[in-house]
Amino acid sequence: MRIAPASIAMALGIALAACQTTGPPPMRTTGDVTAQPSAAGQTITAQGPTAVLWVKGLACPGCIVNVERQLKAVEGVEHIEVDLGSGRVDIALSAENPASRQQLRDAIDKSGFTLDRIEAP
Amino acid sequence: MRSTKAALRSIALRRREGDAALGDTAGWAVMLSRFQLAIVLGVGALATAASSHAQAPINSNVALQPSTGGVILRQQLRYFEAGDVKAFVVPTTILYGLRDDLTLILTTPLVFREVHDPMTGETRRDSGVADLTFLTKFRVFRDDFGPTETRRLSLLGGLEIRSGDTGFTSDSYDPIFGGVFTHAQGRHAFDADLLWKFNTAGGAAGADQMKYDVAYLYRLAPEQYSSSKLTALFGVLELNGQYDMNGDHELFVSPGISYVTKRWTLEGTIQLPILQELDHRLARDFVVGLSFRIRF
Repeated sequence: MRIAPASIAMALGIALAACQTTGPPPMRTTGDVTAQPSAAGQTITAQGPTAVLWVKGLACPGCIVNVERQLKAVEGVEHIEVDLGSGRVDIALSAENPASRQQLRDAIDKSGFTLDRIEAP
Repeated sequence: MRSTKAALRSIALRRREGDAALGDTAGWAVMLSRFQLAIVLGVGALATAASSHAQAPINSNVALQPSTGGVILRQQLRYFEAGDVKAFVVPTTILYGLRDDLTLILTTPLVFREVHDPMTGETRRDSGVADLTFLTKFRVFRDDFGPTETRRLSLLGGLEIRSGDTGFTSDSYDPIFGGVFTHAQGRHAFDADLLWKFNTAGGAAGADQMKYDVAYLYRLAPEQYSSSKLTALFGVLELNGQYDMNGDHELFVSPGISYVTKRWTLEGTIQLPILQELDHRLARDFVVGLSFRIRF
């Protein structure tokens, strides 16, 4: 069985690129998200501030991975809870170094979904 | 199907009669693979390369994509019978989200086949690597109109790459272009795709191919998602067709079932032919497929 070297090189290239990627580097936080209690019924618990993101287009359970991957890469995001049916994403933020609204907005953009609004009074 | 089987019998007969062109070790089985099975496998790669998201049809494409830096690995096991040919095809697909709207997709299909010669009673078994498929998927339209509702349109472009494995490859580099549309609303999802492969191999067996798929998914459970209900069971019904520019036309109806969790998906399907007008490649009696996808 003889395999074309070009085919092998391409396969290895793709696999290597995929393995090397561990998400975008942490962004500098500006800390402009203020504290908000979690919604009743949510299991999220946090010492620091929380925020609620309302996301649209989460068509299936697998979509949650996309959202979590991007939000976890944001410095200052400590815990994420997704309600798929309503598109509600509860986030616990670091008390010392909470993520900014813009960082959260960018993370949802990178996940491939539409951010409806952020609730973080 | 009748004409293909007749052609196979003819090849076997010519071999028995010592036809010089077919009497060497390359023989009728290799001829079969080069001009018929390779095309069948090409169809399989086209059908499965880009369809690796969570809420996705099993044999068709979907306009959903992994996020930036996201990786999806899909392992399939497909079994089909086509007259005296039985084959397991094992395509491995890796998707990488270069951006949230741009995905790289590579599929490498392994093939294990068994060819029975009805004239001699001999059965040959061999295995190899069929042509690889490299595709890019670029989203050109997105309308997320509700929490779980979305409409998306993506373009597909890439290349079917010769594996170099004699007997399993088309020995050509064939460009592929197309598009896929997805509409998901409530418990329903609809996908449609159209792909064109420019076959650079030449000859009647190397005709350009147009592949088309339509799929409907219904979420059997749960009725409503919540923060505690993050798994789903989908019923899937697909029509998977291919028209070759040499006049061959094949259409399958493909019911299936898909169990989706946050991290992985398990799915099964059976493809049954409802239209087969084939003179240049094997007519598959049926295809059974199992698939596992995992998201990183």
